[in-house]
Amino acid sequence: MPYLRATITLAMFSGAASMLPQPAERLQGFASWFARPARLPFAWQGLNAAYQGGDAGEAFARGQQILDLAPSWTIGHAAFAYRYVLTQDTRGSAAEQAEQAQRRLIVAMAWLEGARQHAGDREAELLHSAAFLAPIACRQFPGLEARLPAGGAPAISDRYFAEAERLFPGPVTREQRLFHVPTLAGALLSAGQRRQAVDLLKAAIATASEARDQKLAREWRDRVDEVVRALSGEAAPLEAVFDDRRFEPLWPHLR
Amino acid sequence: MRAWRGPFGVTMRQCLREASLPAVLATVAAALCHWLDDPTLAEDTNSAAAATPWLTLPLFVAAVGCCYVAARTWPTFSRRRGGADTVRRVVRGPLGGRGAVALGATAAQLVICLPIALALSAWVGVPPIAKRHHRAACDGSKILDRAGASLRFDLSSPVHADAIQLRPRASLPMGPRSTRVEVTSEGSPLTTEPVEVEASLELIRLKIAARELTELTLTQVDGDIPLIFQPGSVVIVGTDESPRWGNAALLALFSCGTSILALTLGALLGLGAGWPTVASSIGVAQFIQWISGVGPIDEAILALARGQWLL
Repeated sequence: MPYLRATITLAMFSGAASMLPQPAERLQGFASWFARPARLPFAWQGLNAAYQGGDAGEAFARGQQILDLAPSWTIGHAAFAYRYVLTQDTRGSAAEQAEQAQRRLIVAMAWLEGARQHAGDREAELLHSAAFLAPIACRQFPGLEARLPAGGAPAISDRYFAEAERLFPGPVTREQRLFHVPTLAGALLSAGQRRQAVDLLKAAIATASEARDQKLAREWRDRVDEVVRALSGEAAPLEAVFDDRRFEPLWPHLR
Repeated sequence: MRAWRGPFGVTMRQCLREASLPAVLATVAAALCHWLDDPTLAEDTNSAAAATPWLTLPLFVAAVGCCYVAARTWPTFSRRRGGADTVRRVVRGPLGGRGAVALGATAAQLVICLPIALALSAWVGVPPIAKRHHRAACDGSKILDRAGASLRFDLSSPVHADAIQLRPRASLPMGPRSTRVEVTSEGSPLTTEPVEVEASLELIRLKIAARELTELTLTQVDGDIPLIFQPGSVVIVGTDESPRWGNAALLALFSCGTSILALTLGALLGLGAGWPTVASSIGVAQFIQWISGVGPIDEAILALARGQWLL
């Protein structure tokens, strides 16, 4: 009888709590905070079990549970996302591996997007981590680049760099996006988007003076200008461009 | 009928009466926690493997509950209990009824845990099909450290298999190249290309054409990373499929083993100690099995969640 009364009491309180506005989110938030000290040690134990005997998907699922308890841990989000994307358990043909890698990349990027709401001041580092994930994955899985939308991994990276620059305008975020331009332009040229690539390079010329190192900025602007002239059909000296490995993604389109 | 009125029946009824409700409440709490905790971007298989704490909780509560009720119900389980002299006069045998008590507790635990295991395994998304994983054993050296080196792994009996799992441990690399390993059986290759291994304890799943295997040979083709194949690092996945409910039932049965151990320990200590000591020992014995991972129950829950047949 005492158990029955206690059970009914609990059920009625739960029902009342469920009628609160935004009950699911509040309940989840409270439960996460309340359970953290008890849950975290076992969550890490479970993660180790996944590393020892499970697969990358299980490790990723366990990682999600840990990060639900510590949602502002941005480096943790990045680390688990990278590990998940770059670990290929099931071997097969290159096409099969690329398909699986694409699926994992989409899932990981969606997860990193969801982590942004808790990142606060560290959102910039989360965005930078997300920016580099696609290019690194494409290097590891050769067929992956062909499966990405037009612009490929560089376009994905640029989207994240642009977002970081918008949210946290400053020399670091500006220069990161600026020096990524050759990679993105090369990808656009490979996708047949010549006009967009030229526009992008012209915009880079306009913003090159914002780099903190003025000598570097002048040199950079000169190289980009030579590339734009060559792509526009004008005669331009390209020896310095071919000597500068930062412009390697553009070389095939300049020969 | 005699057994039902004796220590076995008395204990079983008492355990069912007192331990059922806490186990049911723990099941509800586990289901709720899983709903809150469920990784949203994981596939079903991985989500179930991450839900092992919620599979563990109600089974642990049932095990601990049945053990405590049994040890508390039977007067001879610990010293200075009322009614112990009467029981010693009535119950014959060297164990004084303790064996029957333990059996009664585990029978009650099985009755409680069986529906919980069946229901929760479906709730958390345990794969509907379980496959048997066979560990291949290698005698002698278990290291591949140069091109041309090979290791032979034998199976205790022929296995009809369609997948192989490798998980070698990598030593410090001697150069920049990852190690490539050719996988063969009875001289014929099982994969179209050699398998590339880079990281330590990296899981490598290989799908092969279904065939009967009795042995497996791994030959290093080239590479600079020495690989160590410790026991359990080469697993052959059989093609036989078993249902989830069968696996969950086996888990419920295996969970009774934890109580037998805990009650045996409690009974031994109870020969010279009182109820607090016996209760503490039972609690600790269950904790280290279920929570600390000592013993097979932890691995059994993981195996269920990963879709591996428990036998």
